[in-house]
Formats: sequence, C-alpha cells, structure tokens
Amino acid sequence: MITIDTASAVPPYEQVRSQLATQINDGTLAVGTRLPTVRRLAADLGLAANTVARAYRELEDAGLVDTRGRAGTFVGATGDASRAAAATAAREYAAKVHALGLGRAEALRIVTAALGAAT
Amino acid sequence: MATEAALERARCWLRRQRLEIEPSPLVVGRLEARRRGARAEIVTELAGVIALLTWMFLVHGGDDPVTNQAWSIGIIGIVVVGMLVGFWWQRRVERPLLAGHPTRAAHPAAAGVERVLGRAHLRAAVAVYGGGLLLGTALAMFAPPGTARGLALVFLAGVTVLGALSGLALATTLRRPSLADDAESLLVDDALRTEDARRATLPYVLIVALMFAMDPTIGLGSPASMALLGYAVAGGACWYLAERNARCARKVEPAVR
Repeated sequence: MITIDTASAVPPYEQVRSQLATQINDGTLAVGTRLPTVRRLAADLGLAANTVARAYRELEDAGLVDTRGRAGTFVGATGDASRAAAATAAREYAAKVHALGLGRAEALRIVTAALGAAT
Repeated sequence: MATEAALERARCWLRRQRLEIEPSPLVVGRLEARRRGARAEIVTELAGVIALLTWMFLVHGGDDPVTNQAWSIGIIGIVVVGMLVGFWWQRRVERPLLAGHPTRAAHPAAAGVERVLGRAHLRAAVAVYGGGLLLGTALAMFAPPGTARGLALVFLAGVTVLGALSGLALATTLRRPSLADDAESLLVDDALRTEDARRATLPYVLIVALMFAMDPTIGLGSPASMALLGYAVAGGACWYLAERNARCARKVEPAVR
C-alpha cells in the first residue's frame, strides 16, 4: 500500500518514490510487477499526474523500474544493480574522506545527515 | 454525520463481505452513495421500460415475432444501461467524500481484470458471452431463411450489444480511482470494486437465450430451441459455480488482497 499525507513536510513525489523504492528493495513488489499507470496512481492518491511521473522518472533513473512504452512501468530486475551502485558510491566517498583526513565517526555523521536531508 | 441506521447497514455489509472491521465514516458514506446510486438506477430503468413499452404498444404495435423479441432485448438493455447510470451516480456522490482529506491510500501494483473479478467469474463471463456469440453465429448461419433467421440475427445482435454494455460497465468499474485513506478503507474499496465488477458482468444474455428458446416461432423442442436452452442452463451452471467458488474463497481468506 502507498499512503500520501499532503500535510507532511515531505513533498508528495518523494513520498511516492520512497515508498515504492522501499517496497521494491524489500521484495514486497516482486520483479516484473506492473505498477499502476501514472494517471491511475495520481487519481488514486489525489495528486497531479506530473507528481507521480516525477517519482516514476526517479525510480527509473535509479534502475528500480523499467518503462516499456505503452505496456506500462514494471519493477525492474536491477534492484541488485542499485545496491551495487550505492556500494560503489560509498567506496568513492570513503576514499574521498580518507584523502581529506576526516575521521570515521565524523564521516558517518556526515552520511547520516545527508541521508536525513534526502528523505 | 452517519445515522444509526446507516451505520447498521454498513456493519451488515461488512459482515457479508467477511471484513471484520468497524465502519468508518468514509465506508458508511460510500455505502450510502451506493443506495443513492441504486435509486437512480431504478428510476432510469423504470423510465426506460415505460418509454419502451409505450412506444411498443401505442406507436409501433403489431405482432411480428422478430420485432417483439427485439423489444424484449431492448428491455434487458435498459436494465444494463440503468446499472451504468447507477454507477455514474454513485461515483458522483462518493467523489467528494475524501475531498480535503490529508491522507490517501492506493495499491502500488496495477490490478488486472482477473484480480478484481476473480478467475472463476472471469472464466464464466468469457464462457457465457463467448458462447452466446458462437451460438448466435451458428443459429444465423444454419437457420432457414425467413423469420427463424431473423430471430437468430436479433439474438446475435442482442448478445453483441449486451456484451458491449457489460464490457463498458466492467471497464468503468476497473478504471474508477480508489477512494481510501488507510489500509482498512482500501480493503473496503477492493471489495466494492469486486462487487461492482461482478454486477457488471451478470449474465443477462442467458435471460435472452431463455426468451428465444420459449419463442413459439422457433418451436419448443426444435434443435434451435434445445441449443438455446442448453446454452442457458450451461451458462447458469458456470455462473453458479463461479459464485460458489467466490463464497468459499472468502471463507478461507477474508482479506482478498
């Protein structure tokens, strides 16, 4: 289930994106599952179509979903690739932190803060 | 503010659906919208049937069997159109129920016709309408020219029109947006959608087949009459089995999705 709280400080597109991403990553939405059309999900959630379209675009950029033309949007088989991409980015970050001479605790605090700001 | 009677009706409906939840104001409002939709449906059907009967007896007249059977199909068509009007009316009433509400809920996966209608009902609907088209085509091809062929063509046209109207009603049901603000109301939304989808695909065409089977022009006991009767009985059996299947499924697993 996806829920949207329009009174929340988190933008609606981010609420849609993060809930779909979570359900794809934890396997609730299996690979190959067809997502509702942009218009349909927008109508269901009382949102503008552009809002849902942006969430879908970001999921596609992250490799979590595939858009197959008129057939619709499907949960992609690249969930593991997403994790691999995140791991690569983490390694690059670790190298950069090491080069800058920052400590482990401080580096983790920076990541935690960045994650907090992103969700 | 929901009345006590409306609340009790909602509790009854939820019990019938085997949903063990207390009716929220949204659920009560939606079920009341359905009552208003049902009233609009009955008014439309009554007005349509009266208009058709008036036209039939006062303006048209005559006792041509082909025309008379076409009128009777028209009456069943009005019943299906009335259902479409009822659906439209109930949506008009229930749409504002969540207006201004801060939270909304929806399914993250697309639900196809099989998931909404149920596999058994989908198979029964395909068998009934597909079988009707095949039977109508066969009757039109092999009936002797004249009144019998005219009746066969009217039957085929009736099955086609009723099938198209049922398909339209089903598409309307599948496409309507969800109306839910939490998991429980989403469950109710699913149950309402399934209920509407099954109503949309009710096998009205079997009544048409029975009417044609009893037609004196076709002749009771003739091969055409027996084929129509067999089709009606087999279609009815398919539908009964689908209904029984759905009832058993609900007993095993109250939360369908």
